[in-house]
Amino acid sequence: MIKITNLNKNFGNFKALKDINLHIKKGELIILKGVSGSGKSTLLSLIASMSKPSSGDIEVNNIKVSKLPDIHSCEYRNKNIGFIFQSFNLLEQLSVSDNIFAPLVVSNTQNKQELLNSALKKAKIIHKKNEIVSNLSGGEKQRCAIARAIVLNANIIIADEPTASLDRQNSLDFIEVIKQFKDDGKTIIISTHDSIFDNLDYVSRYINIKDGIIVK
Amino acid sequence: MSIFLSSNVIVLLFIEVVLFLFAIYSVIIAINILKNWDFNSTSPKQYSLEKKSFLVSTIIYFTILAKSFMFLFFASTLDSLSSIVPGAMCAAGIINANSYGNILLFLKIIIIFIFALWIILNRLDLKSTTYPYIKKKYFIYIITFILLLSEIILDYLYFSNISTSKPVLCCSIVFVSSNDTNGLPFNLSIDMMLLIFYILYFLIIITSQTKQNLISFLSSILFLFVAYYSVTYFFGTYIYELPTHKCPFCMLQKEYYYVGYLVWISLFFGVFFGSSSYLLKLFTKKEFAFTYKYSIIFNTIFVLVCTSYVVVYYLKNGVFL
Amino acid sequence: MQNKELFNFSIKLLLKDKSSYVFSFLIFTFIVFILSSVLFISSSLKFDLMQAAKAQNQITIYNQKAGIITQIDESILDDLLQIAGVSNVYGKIDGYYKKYFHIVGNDDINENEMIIGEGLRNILNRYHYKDFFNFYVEDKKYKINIKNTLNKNSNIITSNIAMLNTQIAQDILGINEDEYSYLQIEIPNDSEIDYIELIVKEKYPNLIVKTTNDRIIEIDNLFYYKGGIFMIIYIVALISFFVLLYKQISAINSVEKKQIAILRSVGFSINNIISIKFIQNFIVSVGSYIFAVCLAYIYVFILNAPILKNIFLGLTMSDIVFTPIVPTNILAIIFIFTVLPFLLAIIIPSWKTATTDINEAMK
Repeated sequence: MIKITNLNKNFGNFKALKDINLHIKKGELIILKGVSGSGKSTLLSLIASMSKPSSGDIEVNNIKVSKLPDIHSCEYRNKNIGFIFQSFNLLEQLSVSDNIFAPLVVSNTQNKQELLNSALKKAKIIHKKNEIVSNLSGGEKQRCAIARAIVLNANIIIADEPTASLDRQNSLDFIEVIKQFKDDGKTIIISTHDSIFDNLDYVSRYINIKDGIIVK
Repeated sequence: MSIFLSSNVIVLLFIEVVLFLFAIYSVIIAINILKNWDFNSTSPKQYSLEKKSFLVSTIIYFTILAKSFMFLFFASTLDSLSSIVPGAMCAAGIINANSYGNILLFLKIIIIFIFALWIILNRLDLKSTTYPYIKKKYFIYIITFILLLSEIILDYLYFSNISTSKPVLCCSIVFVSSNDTNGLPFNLSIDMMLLIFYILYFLIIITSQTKQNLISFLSSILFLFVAYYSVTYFFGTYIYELPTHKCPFCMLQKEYYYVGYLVWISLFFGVFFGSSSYLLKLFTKKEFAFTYKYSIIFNTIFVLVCTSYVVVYYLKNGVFL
Repeated sequence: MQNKELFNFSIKLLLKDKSSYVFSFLIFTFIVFILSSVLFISSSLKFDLMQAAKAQNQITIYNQKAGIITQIDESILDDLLQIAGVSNVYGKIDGYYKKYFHIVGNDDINENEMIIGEGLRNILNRYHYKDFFNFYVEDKKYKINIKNTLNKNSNIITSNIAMLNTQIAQDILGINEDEYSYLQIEIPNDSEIDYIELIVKEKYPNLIVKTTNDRIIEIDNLFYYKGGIFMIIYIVALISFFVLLYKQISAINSVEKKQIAILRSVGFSINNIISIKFIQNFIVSVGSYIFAVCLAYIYVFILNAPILKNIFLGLTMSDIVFTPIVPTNILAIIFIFTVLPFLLAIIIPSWKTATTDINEAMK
């Protein structure tokens, strides 16, 4: 459950987000729509605690995320958030397994190998687990990114323009994965231009952002 | 010929100076944090201070590691100087070559002690989500900085006043008494002192179990002094197997298998943990079980090592010295 | 355990990113190599001199006139024998012939023979004197056969030694029959040395009297002096290196910035990143240290330090062999003087990398 109150984010004089108020319930699938520079990415980054607000509050799963010190915000992000980036943001020189293992390195869980294998299976990339990421195709990289996002069973999935670098078939595959996440009860927030996300019946809400404000 | 041209001393002073420069840099940041810290603010300035606090703590972590290592190197440097300063057979003579030596040694130990305390405080501070001890932490650091400044000045004064032509006293003169006293404070007899030694040890163990930290603190500090005298005037003689050889430094040498390092390091940690529970309670109003545990462990190691030399000697020779 | 996994992960990242560390590794190795070589050479020389100093008899006595050492008269020898506690007094002939030959008198050698050191052997071979050598003094010629060469163990002291019969040595060096270069007093009881030294000094105020301890302190002082000057020059070189290193590290490329940002986005805290950087740099610097020390060992003790040797000893001693002695103190000094500053230098760059804004770096 994500509760955003009076959120503002400024970069110098530029106001990226203005007085955002938003309430996302557990298990919802939210599609964020808006042009480049409207503030979608900034909002997602704030929810994941990758940057700090200029004013306002963000409360996720009853944790006040906006003012957490670094160690705690990283722990929060590690446990609760699975982030999927537009350009995948994988460590190109390492193998698929190493990439997926990265969140596990700093977590306190016990059965790390099992979690790794389970994520590899769920994302259907186990056959490439020792392959160096730079040798993978776009779709495979996407699946690697997905595996990394779910390896610690995060209950919130955030995806920033996930299909921008994919062809149509891979995009459709991605939608299947999202549906699976929804069925698993995860809360999902996707920011996208892609029309492939329009008119999906399991989307809870479409939210439009323009110039840093949510418009109806 | 100046002592400054000994390679050991050059290296020692060089690192001390570099560490001090880093300390100046970080204390400026610390003062800035103390002045402007407001956790509830969301201004970029506050976020920048939060980032800077990581720099300070990294510098301090590295400094304490370096200083601990350099302290051991300092001890071995003093030992090595004993071969070029006439009259000295071990570090005791070198330390007493001028009046700065003993204060410098004491200061170095205090600094490591305070830094160790700071590290525990820092970990506790980071565990919480609101940085509750930040101001106290940096205030302690500023005090430590003043000590660091004194240390650098004393380092220079001490080393520049060691003459390589004037002979110094050897431990046999420094630690051996004149005719009627035995060198111990308050005219204690050796037996009385040993009694106090063991009583204090058991007092520390008991108060650690029952978590009475004020008594544990006081007995630890007292134990430090009693232990110093006990080791120098009694246990040491069993390490050297010579009733007249009373010296706290000779046991650091190779002939005695460097056991001096074990003895003094375990005593340091024992006293540190024994006294830290009270000091931490003073700063954080909380109890910390691990300090009691380690206090018991290290003090026991120390007492066991000392006692075993006496016992082994008795078993081997059938008599005491 | 979390720390072990972080450690392994740091190493993985390091191995995949070797190119950015190669530059610092090579330069650092070079600096450590130079420092180690010099320290190895000087400690080896010092060791040799100490051995020699300890091997001699306890008190050495020189005569001097106007501050210059001259021959000492035989009559003093007889006087010294009378002192209680002295078991024997030896008169020694010692001097230099034509710069290369360090001539030492020895009663057990035949008149027309000599025993020479390694260094002298090499020099004589170069001038084709394989079995003998002619010493020319005023209008006389002494043809001396080379009986033996001292083996390598004796090193710096004996490298240029020519041991001749005492009589012949006196003739060649122009020393009168009733004179000696210096006297050595043998004192069986060590605790009496200082006392006897005082007696001799009192009786002969213008003689130079040195005990073994004095000689050891002299040697130590000589080495502290030379070593110290070198260290100071070294500090200057070190500082310039670290400025270079700092610039190198600070110019962190965008690839690495992105890598760190990715790690931060999956939950690596600032402290985690600083730890990773520290682990990586620790491995690089310690690895470099070990590599450089081994190289220095090979260079000094196996290859006999060409070029550097001549800087230290001058060209006359170019046939020295160094005794392989590496005291732990020297290894500790090298470590503290190189690895510690290296790690200090990377604190600020590591912190800068760790605290860069995640979103900025990922663009």
